[in-house]
Amino acid sequence: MTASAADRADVLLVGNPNSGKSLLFSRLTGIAQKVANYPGVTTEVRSGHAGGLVIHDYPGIYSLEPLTLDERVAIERLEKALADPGTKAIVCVLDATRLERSLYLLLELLPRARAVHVPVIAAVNVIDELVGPSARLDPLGLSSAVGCHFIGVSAKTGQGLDELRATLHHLDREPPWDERCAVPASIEDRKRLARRLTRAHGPRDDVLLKSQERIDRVFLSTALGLPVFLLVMAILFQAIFTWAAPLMSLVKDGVAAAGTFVGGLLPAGIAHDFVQDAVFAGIGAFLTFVPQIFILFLVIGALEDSGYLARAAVLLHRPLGWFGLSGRSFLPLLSGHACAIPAMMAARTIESPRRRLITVMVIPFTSCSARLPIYALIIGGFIPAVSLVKGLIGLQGLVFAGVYVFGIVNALLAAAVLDRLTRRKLGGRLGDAPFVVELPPYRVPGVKPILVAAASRSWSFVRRAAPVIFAVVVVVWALGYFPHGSGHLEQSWLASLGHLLEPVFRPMGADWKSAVGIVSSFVAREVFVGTMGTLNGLEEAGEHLAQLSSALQLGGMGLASALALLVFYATSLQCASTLVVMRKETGTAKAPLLAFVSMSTLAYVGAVVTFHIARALGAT
Amino acid sequence: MGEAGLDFENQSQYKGCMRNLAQLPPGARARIDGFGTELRPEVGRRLRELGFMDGNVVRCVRRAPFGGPRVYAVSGAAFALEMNIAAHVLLGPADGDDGVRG
Ligand SMILES: Nc1nc2c(ncn2[C@@H]2O[C@H](COP(=O)(O)OP(=O)(O)OP(=O)(O)O)[C@@H](O)[C@H]2O)c(=O)[nH]1
Ligand SMILES: [Mg+2]
Repeated sequence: MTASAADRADVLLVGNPNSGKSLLFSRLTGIAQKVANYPGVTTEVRSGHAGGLVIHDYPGIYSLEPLTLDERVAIERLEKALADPGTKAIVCVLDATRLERSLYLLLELLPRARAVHVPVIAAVNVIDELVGPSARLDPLGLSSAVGCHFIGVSAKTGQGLDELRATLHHLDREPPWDERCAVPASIEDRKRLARRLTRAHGPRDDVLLKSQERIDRVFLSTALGLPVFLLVMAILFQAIFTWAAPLMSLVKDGVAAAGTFVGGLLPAGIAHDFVQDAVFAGIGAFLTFVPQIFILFLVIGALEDSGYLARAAVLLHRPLGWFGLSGRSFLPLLSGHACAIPAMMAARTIESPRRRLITVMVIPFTSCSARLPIYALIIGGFIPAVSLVKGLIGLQGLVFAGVYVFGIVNALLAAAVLDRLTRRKLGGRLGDAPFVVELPPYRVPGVKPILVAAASRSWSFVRRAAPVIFAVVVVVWALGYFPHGSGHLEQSWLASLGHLLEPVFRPMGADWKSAVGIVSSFVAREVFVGTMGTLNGLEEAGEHLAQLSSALQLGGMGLASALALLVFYATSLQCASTLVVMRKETGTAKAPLLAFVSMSTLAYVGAVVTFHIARALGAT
Repeated sequence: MGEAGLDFENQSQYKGCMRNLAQLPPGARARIDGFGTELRPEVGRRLRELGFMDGNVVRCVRRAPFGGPRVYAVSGAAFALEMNIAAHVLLGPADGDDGVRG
């Protein structure tokens, strides 16, 4: 769309955190925007088209005076938009189940918008949850009392959206506001008006608040709160390993079958070798692990939808405080297990700038999904699949959980160190906002939405990772193929290069092939599996592809080297995009530099120490 | 940074003076009567915007383990508030503040 400011039609979605702006945005534009039952999910303005309108989804705000960074982002953009003639309307999204609180922002916003002649529409969302005897919503009464359009909508069921669209399209034909409805100027008077309006036109009783308190009796209980939290986390990490297994073998068999089929079509020669060794062995090795990433996104998605995460933030606020973090750091650290980049942006909601800085810097310690393939490869190949406690827990699953715990412990320790380092310098300078978290209602996660969201997140991960892996794999394959062709890996250029690198990685028990894998993965860590797969393919020289993990064992990798590799990947920061985003989020190049150097050093030293300890304990 | 002195109920400096929100036991209600003078104005403003303002009745819903934030119900919503902030919210004379569970 190329439209000048005059006939561009911007519609802003503003409102309290967790009122459903992003879900409404997705409904209106068809763009999948991140939605979760947690206040403070959107931390950046996102825009999309809907029938000639440009819709903007804003981070949630409680008022026009920002306290946290995400609020500042929203309010600065809002101020700019108010002065822009292209702004056609503001849709203030209210939560029907939290009407009194939602109305306050509307009442603060109205006079500002009226002053610049921007019409405001109040979309009272979540009306699908207004059921039972106390349910009531009187949009007409509210409209005439406040002097702007009130429309009851549900972003979940789609109810009322046609009316909202129609109102947006016909705005200019109607008198935009009613001058007779004056809005009080003081906070107290606005709050009182909000209460009066709710009593007169809103739900009669707070049924939802009461039922949420009953559930909180368990989740926030002094005795059960922590055990339940640990149980939830244990299920999360166990799920990635056990539930993904059937899906993984499906993909593995699929890739193998496709490889055999395509290989049969091509005549022997360089093209055949390339397709077999680089495409199927390299990219295929990576694809095998995508199901685990999908399950991870699925479980995190279910948690995000349930409303439990805000409770976890409250529960962990004090314990995380001992490490210089905040309860608000929990969600960023948890989503770091999916990907560090959105996690660092989620840290914008943290009330203290210093704790936010610390959170952003330690997020890369958490085991992101790109590390998952490497863990799965090593654990699947080197840890025996014995079951413990009568088949309830597998040893592999246990080691898997152990690696995740290792990442979390590292993050906490690093946070404590950074806390010490920055306390003197930044402690007084950066003013802290209070820790205030609204507890959202509990909801049963919808099966279809979280499946769709997990699938689309996995797909976008694959789409981002695959080209990089492919590019590296092509280089690795070419260096490994020439000058003698497939099956002569030891005489290839790559081998000469690898033998040059080998001494550096020898102390951690890595041979030249692992050394090549490690070096190639400095672009992005998920490249490692692709590289190893390609090397395996080159070595096997077109025979039936052995499973990558057993190929590593045959290639002479022992348990000690494997464990060292595991520790190395659990600790190292091998992700260029993480460094770029960290720079942006902290506003200084010092942060990513420090993170990269210290994490790489720790990874190397940790791997060397692990190798030698494992050796001393009798591992080969 | 508020690291120290979070256990307000045991702190002598808070004993005897006017009661504050941090001292409100779970299940009890009270009416808010101003803010402590040390509270930063922008924080006070936000608390008022959320409903922690003069004359409003607040109910302490529950406390989190480890002396963490407490949950308060006000203005039809539930907020978890850190204790070192709650301590600056002053409470008026007893008003329906008889430990009724709600
Ligand atoms: N039942 C119901 N749930 C809804 C509705 N709209 C949104 N939700 C849920 O409310 C939660 C918050 O939705 P979001 O769209 O992420 O809210 P937001 O306003 O963008 O929140 P922030 O980005 O944190 O400010 C999610 O769990 C949604 O699934 C609705 O109309 N009905
Ligand atoms: Mg949002």
